[in-house]
Amino acid sequence: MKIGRWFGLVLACLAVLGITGYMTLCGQTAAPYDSIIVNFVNTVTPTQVAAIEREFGIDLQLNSHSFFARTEKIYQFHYAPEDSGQARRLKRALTQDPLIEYAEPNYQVSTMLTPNDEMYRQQWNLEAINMPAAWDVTAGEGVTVAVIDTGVTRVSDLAETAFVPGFDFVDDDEDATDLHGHGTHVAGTIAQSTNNGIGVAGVAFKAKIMPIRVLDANGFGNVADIAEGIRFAADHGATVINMSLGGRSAAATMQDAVTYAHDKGVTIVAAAGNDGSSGSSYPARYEHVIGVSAVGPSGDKAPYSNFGIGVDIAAPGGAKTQEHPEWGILQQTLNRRNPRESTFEYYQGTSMASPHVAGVAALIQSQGVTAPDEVEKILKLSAQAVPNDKQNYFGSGRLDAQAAVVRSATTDQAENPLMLWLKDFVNYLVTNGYLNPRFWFDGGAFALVPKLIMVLGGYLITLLIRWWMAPKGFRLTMPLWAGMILGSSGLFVLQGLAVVGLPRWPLQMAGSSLPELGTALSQSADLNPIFASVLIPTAAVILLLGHRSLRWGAIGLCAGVASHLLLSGSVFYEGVLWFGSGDVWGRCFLLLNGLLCLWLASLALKASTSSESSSLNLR
Amino acid sequence: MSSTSVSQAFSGTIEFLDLEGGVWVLTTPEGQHYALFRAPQDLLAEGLEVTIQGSLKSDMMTAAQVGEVLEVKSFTTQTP
Repeated sequence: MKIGRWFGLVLACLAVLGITGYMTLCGQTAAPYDSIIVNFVNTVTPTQVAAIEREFGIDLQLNSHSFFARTEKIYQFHYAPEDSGQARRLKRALTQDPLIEYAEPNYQVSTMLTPNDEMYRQQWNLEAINMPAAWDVTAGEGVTVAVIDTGVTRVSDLAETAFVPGFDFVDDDEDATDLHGHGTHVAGTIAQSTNNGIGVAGVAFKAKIMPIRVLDANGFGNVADIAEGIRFAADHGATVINMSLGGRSAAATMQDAVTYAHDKGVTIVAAAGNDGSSGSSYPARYEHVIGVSAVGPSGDKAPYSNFGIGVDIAAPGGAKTQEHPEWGILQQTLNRRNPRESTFEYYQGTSMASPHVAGVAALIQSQGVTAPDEVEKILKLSAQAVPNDKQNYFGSGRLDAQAAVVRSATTDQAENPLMLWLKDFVNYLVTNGYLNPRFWFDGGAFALVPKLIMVLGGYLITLLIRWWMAPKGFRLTMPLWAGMILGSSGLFVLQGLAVVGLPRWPLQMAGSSLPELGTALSQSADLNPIFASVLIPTAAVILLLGHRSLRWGAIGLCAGVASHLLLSGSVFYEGVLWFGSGDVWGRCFLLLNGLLCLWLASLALKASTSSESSSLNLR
Repeated sequence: MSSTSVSQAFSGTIEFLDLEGGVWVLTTPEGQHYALFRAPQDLLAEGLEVTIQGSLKSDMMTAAQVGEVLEVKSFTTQTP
């Protein structure tokens, strides 16, 4: 029983972990909205608006002082969160009024500023992060963003963008002109001259660009130069750093520079890398760096984007195909064949995703939120959370500029100091991911709750058998536990461990339960019907029934696999290989085999009990 | 510095990937990519089957962020 008690303790610990993880996931809901937008017909008079205010008992205000709001007659009214039911009823009643075109929750508000840049329509990426509504509030005024890259060339569509002096650490001079094109493209995403009638738009087009050249004409650079670039930016007034660059090795020089900049109040954003594999590159992976993965126009992770450890948020990086080059990110850059010419080109990469986040960080800072941890918190909490993101493709979710700006404009007012401290502490835990199992295990490579329930299921089945059949010689022995765990869940915690430099497959295999082994290496959620069936438990029973202690392993295996199959066939159904797209047959298969395993367990128990008693009789 | 590994041979195919504005890589038969640092012009031909003598540079970073950085010392093309 000693082992049983220890196991119970471990289970309890895992359950607590699971519950906190679950609560964290539940906490990642969308920002609350407490106002309703009311769009009147354009001919409405102030008297008519006042009459509506009296009739419904609401206080209507122009949504903003922009030209658009005034001519389109867009008003809004606020309500207390506890009155949301009342507000929904009001919204319906208002929509009935002939003077009102529509009334809707504030988050659905449509374009406030549509830039007049001639190719703006091709920038799906800016619509995807709700840029227009964010621009109605801010365009990053007063913030300096350092672009640590191949340099930045002031092409025609950067002519109206403000620049501050930077530095060239490759040639050690003050001329940070781009000789590659990458940095110019990245700077364009951050602050391309916008609403100037030509070219394209940028996220924080009123922010200032500090060009820092650390990569040569072929896009290569060394860690020492990049670390110097980070310190230079922090010392010369940049409050956001974008690093669309990376490598596979960590370096203390660089980690120190990152910490230095963070402590000076700089928000640091970096690209997760383009190997399409698990684990971000450095610097994205360092503490205090916001790592960005890339999505395409569909919102799915781009195939090339890294994921897992180090990914904090996702942003558009493009996902081009032969037929659709326009699914990349369009900015002005240099002609690679002749760097003296400029051109508008669709690029794709996590390097394109990172500057979207850096730009929105500048928008947040221009609203008065400057502490890097606060900025990161707002970016993460305002992101559109992606449910079921087992591999951490998206971090906290997809970047949402509008929600970020709304959130930064309404940061905490004065409150009870103890509550503030507690909130800060919880925020610290949440922001740094300490409450999230994904922090501890790579990319949340496994779904914790189903696994725990499967182990518990196997345990319950074993207890049930013990109580029901009261077999002689039944003890909770090591082989029994081992069989049960192998059958139900595997040492699933191992799946999440990522040991740098080691291949992943041994951990993937060891972390899988028997039914999952058939597809463990492909990391598919579907089950392989050869492994997820009564087949292997049967073989185990036949082979091991004669062995005095190992037969309990076979019985445990039957109970574990029964638990796994019954649960996979019912509540946690993901799919079975070769069973087509319909669920019914796959579910039937798993449930039937689960029942067969139960039956097999009871058969094996009967057989072993009788042999146990016969061997006792012999004595 | 230990940031540069000893010179070794790397075999595979030269490819131009449409990432980050375009990047030349060596792709091994296992699908591993290496970013080609100090690559001579005549190495950069799509589909070229080569064996590169070079060393890995762990103290370097790239704009393209594809694979480890491989400094090319010399190369030989496979005869078809």
